[in-house]
Amino acid sequence: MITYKLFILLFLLYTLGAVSPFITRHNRWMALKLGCLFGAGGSLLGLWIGIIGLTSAGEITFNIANILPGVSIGIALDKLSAFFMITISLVALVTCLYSIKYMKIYSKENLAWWSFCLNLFILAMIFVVTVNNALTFLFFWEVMTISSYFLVTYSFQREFVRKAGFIYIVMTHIGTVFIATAFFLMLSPSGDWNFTSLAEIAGTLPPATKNLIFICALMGFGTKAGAVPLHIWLPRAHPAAPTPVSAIMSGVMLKTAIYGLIRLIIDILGIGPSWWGGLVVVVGLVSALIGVISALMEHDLKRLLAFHSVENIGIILMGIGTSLVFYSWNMSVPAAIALAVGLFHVLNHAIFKSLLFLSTASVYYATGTKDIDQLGGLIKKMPYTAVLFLIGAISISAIPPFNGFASEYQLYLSMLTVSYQDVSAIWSVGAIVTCAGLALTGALAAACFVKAFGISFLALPRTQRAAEAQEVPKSMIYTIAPLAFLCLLLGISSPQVMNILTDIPLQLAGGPQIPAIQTYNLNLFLALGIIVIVLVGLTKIMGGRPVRKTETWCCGIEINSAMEYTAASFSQPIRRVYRPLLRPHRSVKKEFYSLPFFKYKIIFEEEVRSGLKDFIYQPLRANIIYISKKWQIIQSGNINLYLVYIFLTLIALLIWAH
Amino acid sequence: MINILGNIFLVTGLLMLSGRKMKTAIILLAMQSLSLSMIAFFSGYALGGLNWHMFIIGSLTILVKVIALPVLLYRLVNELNPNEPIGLSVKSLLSFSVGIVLVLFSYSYVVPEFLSSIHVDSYLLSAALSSILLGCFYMISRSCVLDQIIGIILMENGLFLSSLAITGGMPLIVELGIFFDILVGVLVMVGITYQIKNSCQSLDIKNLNRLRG
Repeated sequence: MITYKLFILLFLLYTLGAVSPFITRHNRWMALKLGCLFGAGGSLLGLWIGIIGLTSAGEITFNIANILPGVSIGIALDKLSAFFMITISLVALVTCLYSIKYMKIYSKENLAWWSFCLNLFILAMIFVVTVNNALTFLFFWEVMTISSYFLVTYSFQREFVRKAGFIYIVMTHIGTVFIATAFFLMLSPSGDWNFTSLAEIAGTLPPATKNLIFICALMGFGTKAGAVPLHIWLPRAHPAAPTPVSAIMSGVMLKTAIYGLIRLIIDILGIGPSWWGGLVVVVGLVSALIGVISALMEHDLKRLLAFHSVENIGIILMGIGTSLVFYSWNMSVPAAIALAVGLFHVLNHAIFKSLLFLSTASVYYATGTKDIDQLGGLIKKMPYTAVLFLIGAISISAIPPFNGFASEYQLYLSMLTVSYQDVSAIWSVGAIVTCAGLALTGALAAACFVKAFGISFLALPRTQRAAEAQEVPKSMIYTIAPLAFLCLLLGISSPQVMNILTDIPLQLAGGPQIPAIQTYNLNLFLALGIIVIVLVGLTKIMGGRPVRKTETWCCGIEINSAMEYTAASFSQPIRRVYRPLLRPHRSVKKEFYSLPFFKYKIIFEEEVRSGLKDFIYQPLRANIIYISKKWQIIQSGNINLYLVYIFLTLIALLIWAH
Repeated sequence: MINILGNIFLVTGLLMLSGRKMKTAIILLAMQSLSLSMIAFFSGYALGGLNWHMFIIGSLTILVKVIALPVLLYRLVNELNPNEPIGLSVKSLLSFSVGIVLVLFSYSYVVPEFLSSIHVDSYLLSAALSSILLGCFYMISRSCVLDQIIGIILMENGLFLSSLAITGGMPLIVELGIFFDILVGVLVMVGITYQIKNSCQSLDIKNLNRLRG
């Protein structure tokens, strides 16, 4: 019963966080503080409820309110919900605390409205992952979409923000249509929307309907998660939103789709044929590769991070897909481990991605730009932010001993287990190819973050703004530092975390007890630490040669920032290798004054064209407009004629429905 | 007795289709509503003793549909549309025959075949369904704004009668909601009628054709 009271308290805190800023809206600073503090309080409580749910043996269920006859907001907190609740609350907590200082740069705008949408958004996400009824799930799903739409379009004065908001709302609604269809197909004639009764109906459905439901669920949730080719809203919406919002959207909102996918497929629909898992793995692999290659081409830090979200969602989908494959082969132990790997990466990505987004926010706070070609040399001005960004970058690039490596390593093991099963050559070879793809993804991600970190934090500042940057206030650093610590902690304690997470699939799908998982991450970390300490100690004892500090020799020319490696030149080799995919268009123009050798200027432009946009979305859009124009004939403007349409439909239904 | 009232209900609806004059149509509508209220009274009486539920419904029908709305519409016709000739989209003889076909359709096909699972003792359901179709066709066949309002009320009468026939009356709060709905609906439509008259100088809905996007 304590959980029930805590949940009500959580609801009240978020509601207060949403409403109270309006009371003090004339004092913007106060409104922002109230909204963020109540939001942080609610998130802290959410963390607590999540831990209660994850540690309790059974499912905690209670009813909050009856909203319609037969439909009530019922909460069913099992381990899966509790895990997602912890993830959401953790990121929301840090972001709310961080925003108190950060959102000051928006001090001329309507901060009360921002606080309202933010609190509503977090509350809706918490409800999405805990309700036990498809109707309320869809309702809160929509609340989540709409409140995040208003957060994305917060700076609506700019045109690209409005455009991004439009694409976001269109794409997510198309996704919602598919999700709703998936639920409708499972609906019983009595119209009971509870997950348990949907699961009963789903057990009796023919395989073809099950396949259809699976495809609908994958498309619907894939749109929200940002799986290729449905990800086009993601790189637009994330840069448009204020950065703390991007952190929440990228860190946890995408994960609600992962939750929906697991809940709908594994819990409600039940396990299907093995091609389901294969399809999810392929979608994941394509998303991971396209995401990371597109990220490499970006110069805007937030767009770059947004494409990395596509990549990481791909990695998570690979884990879930592998688990579906194992379940369809009735191997519940490796299946549970693979699902736990997917969930582990959900948590890891939430942590390092919000760390990266919030460090980017700090850079924006200090310099006013997110374009890495306008930064440079920040490590000297903002050392703490640089270290935090670096830890996030190492984690996302899957380099030990941080958490990105921990989960991806487990994923390799799961994939290799698929390959060893000798089911058929396709699976064995496919799994190896997927492993290779995952390795490529990790390498490209590392390249991308070498670029992002190197261009923006190292060498000389490229602009005045970067040169004048100052470290952000201490409170901002303190709020995001715990995320960096968690990156390390989860990285070295991965066996413990994995052993907790394997209970989740056990509760969902049953099966024998999972043997404890062992890794050498801690030993590796200790070994690395000892080597570093020994080397440093040896240097101290032996005493190296004296270091001479002078200016860099550059053939007599004075060094300036124009000589630096730029983001475009760094990614040029990769652009060349993936030319068929990226289709770069290059133009080089030379301008000179008198002779071709004096006072000349070279203008170099190279843009990457999105094949998806040219080959899928453009033709689709053109066709829809064309067909709509054709059908416009029936819109004559005559009311009598419109009535005739209604009348004929009525008659036709009366005749045909018999 | 209820069947006789049901027939009156039906015949008034049919006659409305054949007439040209709007005032006649309004009087016929009032008569139809009166028969509707009588049906409510009688079915209440048939259920035994003085049935308060049916009594309230019947009285409200008299108050709203027999007195208030027809008077409102009658005054509106006098004020806005004294002699303006407005053509029918469908000729009156043709529309009368279409009306008869619709009535036959609902009596001989829809109710016995399609709605056979619903057991109603009398022909009330057929009359109600015919009235819905007739109302819709009435709106199609006329091009005056006021005729659209009359058609809506005609359809509403049919819907109300079908609810009365099938369930013997819905919960009182729902019934009150329906009355309030039709009253407010017609008031809003009357307001818009004034608006149309002011901006188009005519009540012909063909003037609205150019509103399309």
